[in-house]
Amino acid sequence: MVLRYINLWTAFFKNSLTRDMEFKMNFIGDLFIDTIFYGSMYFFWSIIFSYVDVLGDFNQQAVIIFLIVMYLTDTVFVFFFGSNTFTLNTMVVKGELDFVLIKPVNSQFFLSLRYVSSYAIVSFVILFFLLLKLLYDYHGQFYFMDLIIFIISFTMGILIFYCIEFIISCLVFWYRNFSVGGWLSSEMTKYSRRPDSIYKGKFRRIVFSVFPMAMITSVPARTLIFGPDIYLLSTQFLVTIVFLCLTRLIWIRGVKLYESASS
Amino acid sequence: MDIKIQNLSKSYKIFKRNPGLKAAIKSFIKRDYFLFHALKNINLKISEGEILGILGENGAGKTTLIKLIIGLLHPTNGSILVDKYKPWERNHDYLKKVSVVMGQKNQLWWDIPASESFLLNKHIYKIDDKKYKLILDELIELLDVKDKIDIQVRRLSLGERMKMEIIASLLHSPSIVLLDEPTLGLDVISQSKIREFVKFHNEQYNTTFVITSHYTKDIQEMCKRVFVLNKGEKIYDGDFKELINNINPKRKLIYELPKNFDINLIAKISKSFTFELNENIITAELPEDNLQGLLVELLDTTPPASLLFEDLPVEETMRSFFENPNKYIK
Amino acid sequence: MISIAIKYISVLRMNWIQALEYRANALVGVIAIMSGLFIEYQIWSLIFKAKGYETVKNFEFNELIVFIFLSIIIGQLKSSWHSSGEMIRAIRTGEINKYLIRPVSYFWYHFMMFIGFNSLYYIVYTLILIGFVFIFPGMIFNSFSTVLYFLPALFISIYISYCIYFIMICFAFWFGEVRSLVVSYNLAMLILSGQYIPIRFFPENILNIINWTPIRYLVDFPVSIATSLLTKQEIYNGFVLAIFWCLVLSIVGSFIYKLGIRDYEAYGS
Repeated sequence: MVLRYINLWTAFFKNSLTRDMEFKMNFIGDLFIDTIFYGSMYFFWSIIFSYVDVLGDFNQQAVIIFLIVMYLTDTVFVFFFGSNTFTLNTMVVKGELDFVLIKPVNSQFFLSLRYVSSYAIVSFVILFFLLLKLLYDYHGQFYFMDLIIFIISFTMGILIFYCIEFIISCLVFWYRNFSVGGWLSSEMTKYSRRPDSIYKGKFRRIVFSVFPMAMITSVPARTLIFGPDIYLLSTQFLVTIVFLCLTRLIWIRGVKLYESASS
Repeated sequence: MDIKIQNLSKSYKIFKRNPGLKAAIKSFIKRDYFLFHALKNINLKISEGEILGILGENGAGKTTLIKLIIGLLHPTNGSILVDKYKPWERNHDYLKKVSVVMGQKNQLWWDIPASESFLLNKHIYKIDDKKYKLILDELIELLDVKDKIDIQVRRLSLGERMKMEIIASLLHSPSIVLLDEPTLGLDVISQSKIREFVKFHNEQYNTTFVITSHYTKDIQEMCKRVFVLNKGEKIYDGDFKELINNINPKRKLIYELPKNFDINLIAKISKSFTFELNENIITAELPEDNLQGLLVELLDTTPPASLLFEDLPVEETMRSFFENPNKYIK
Repeated sequence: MISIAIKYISVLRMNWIQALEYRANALVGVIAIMSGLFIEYQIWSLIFKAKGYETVKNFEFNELIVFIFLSIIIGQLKSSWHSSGEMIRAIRTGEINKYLIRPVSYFWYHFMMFIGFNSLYYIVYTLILIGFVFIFPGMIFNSFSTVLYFLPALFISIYISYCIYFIMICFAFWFGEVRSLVVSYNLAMLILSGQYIPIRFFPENILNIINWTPIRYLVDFPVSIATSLLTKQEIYNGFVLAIFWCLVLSIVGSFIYKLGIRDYEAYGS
């Protein structure tokens, strides 16, 4: 079963790579977009830090590590899911979801992972080595155990990110045409692109639970900067499970609605 | 795998608004919905190995019926049973036995060669290597697209693309294939190629085909039996030829007389039969019995230089049928 | 002249109708600016507290938040993710021919599309702004003349923004796909035009460059007028330069378009 889905994903990957090689300009263009995105976020924080030295318990060095983790989250998300979640809107509007539903494969799996954005590998490799260097500069040595726990937490972060994007794009089932889904999710996930230390009071509790934006990048980044925190990591695990179940539920209900609405 | 459809109805909500900016603002605040009945109380049984044509005008409910059979829609009322499966549950075992081709939608990846998409389907349907190769080679051979499968789909012509779609949907050797407007927009040669292919595949593998098409010619050539829908209701289910005979029982006879024929003899016959005489050629459009009578008389009086029977074009027959279906169906 | 105006207004009207079709868009538009503001609020309140600032660059905390709020709104109104995407697609797929054979100007047709598509947001944001004026009196639009100057400045911002999109999109005549250029521009402008941090907070050298480019007129200029940060003289000077940029960009745009369309027709697809 698992093996079958791994094989299937490999086939997706091969198809995507074939296509991406066809459009070299897009490949380079996407890398260019990433560079601009990373650059502008860096610029934003460097301006903020010209007015302040620490944001809560994040100093400037820690924020830069946070930023790299954030870029990594973004890249890995884009690699697996980025080209998929928001095709749902067009697919529903044009009725192309039909072809996904009539395949003898889990439809959520098929829809979420069909296109792989192969270009993201390039950014990933560069960012990963950059992160290792920054970590070494920050701590003066490597804590390998932390790095392993980070990878686990990072994976959960990606899954939560996916859940949020997926749930938002599923709104198309209720709105018939939700072309602003991409916009809404970029506004929502913006909360995950800021270090959690800027959130105070009740809102802070919210981003660590029902609206788990701090779970996406901040918790993994904290693992690297301050070492693992059992409490945070176990909440993150719980949130991941709950949100994954939620996507399943929403998907099933949404598809039901699609069936009854389409002609 | 037989398909059994009983008392099937399907309706859905659509929202409607009047034209104009004012109405647009109004519907921004509040929307009016009304219920549209796409299919009403349909009963239909399709046996294994049959080729069934579904006829009907735009919006008659053809595509809705196809979608209900494949399992994309829930019936509002009634039931569909294919073998032991309820289609809308979309059981994976069921999905492996059926397939659908929709003329106006495509499942192939636009920017890569079709062969890559086929490979993906191989994984999706878990087709083993040997079987895959065998089936693919046969389909490529039959549809004559050997040199096209490694070209990006977007560079193919419409006809070639449709052939690829058909290959992609037959790779897992389904026992039921639903074709929704498979020949839409294709040229005459591609159309007939696809028709031949369907007939061949049906004979060879006993595959059930359910076909909707705007081209009555498609249906005429592929399907013995037709199911006719009008505004969501069944108005005919049975032999296609019979239907045509009911609507327009006339046939055309073209009878060429020898150059030196006797006009008086012909004038005598023209008292009991209606036909046209143009120089030495007689054309008559009459119901079968009359036509036979005329032929006997003619043969008795003047042997022909040549003679020819023609069926009236089905397209026209069907058009007059849809203009007023109640006239022909009791 | 009037008949020409009617022609383009009818394009606008079609887009209004289409925009109204999507109720969700209005909702998301409101959420977007509110949520954007909320994040900035969190960051700046932390900074003011941490350093015990009374003012940063002459902004009191409330003034800064109002300034950012208005910047987010203006930033949203001038940007186009949808229309620009449509224009690129039209060139790539050859759908542009549809416009070429009609007696309309491609430039103005899409300008109307651009405004029309955003029209829903103009309405929604105007309502929010009016509410704002009443809830926080004296913070923005504290005299009638600021409204009077603000409106043309806003129009110029939208026009300049459109011209820049238009020029970028014209490159599609040669390169086919310029989506990454447009997306990168959009992302860069989120920061550089001062949509989230006022450009006066930027380092001196970068600010000097921006002040000599049209970027200054996208967000900072109209917002500064609305919040009464500029003297009459500065406003006049600003308008002169802004109109200069409008002219330059229009000329460059029409030049590149003519060049592009010629090559496109010659080698067309």
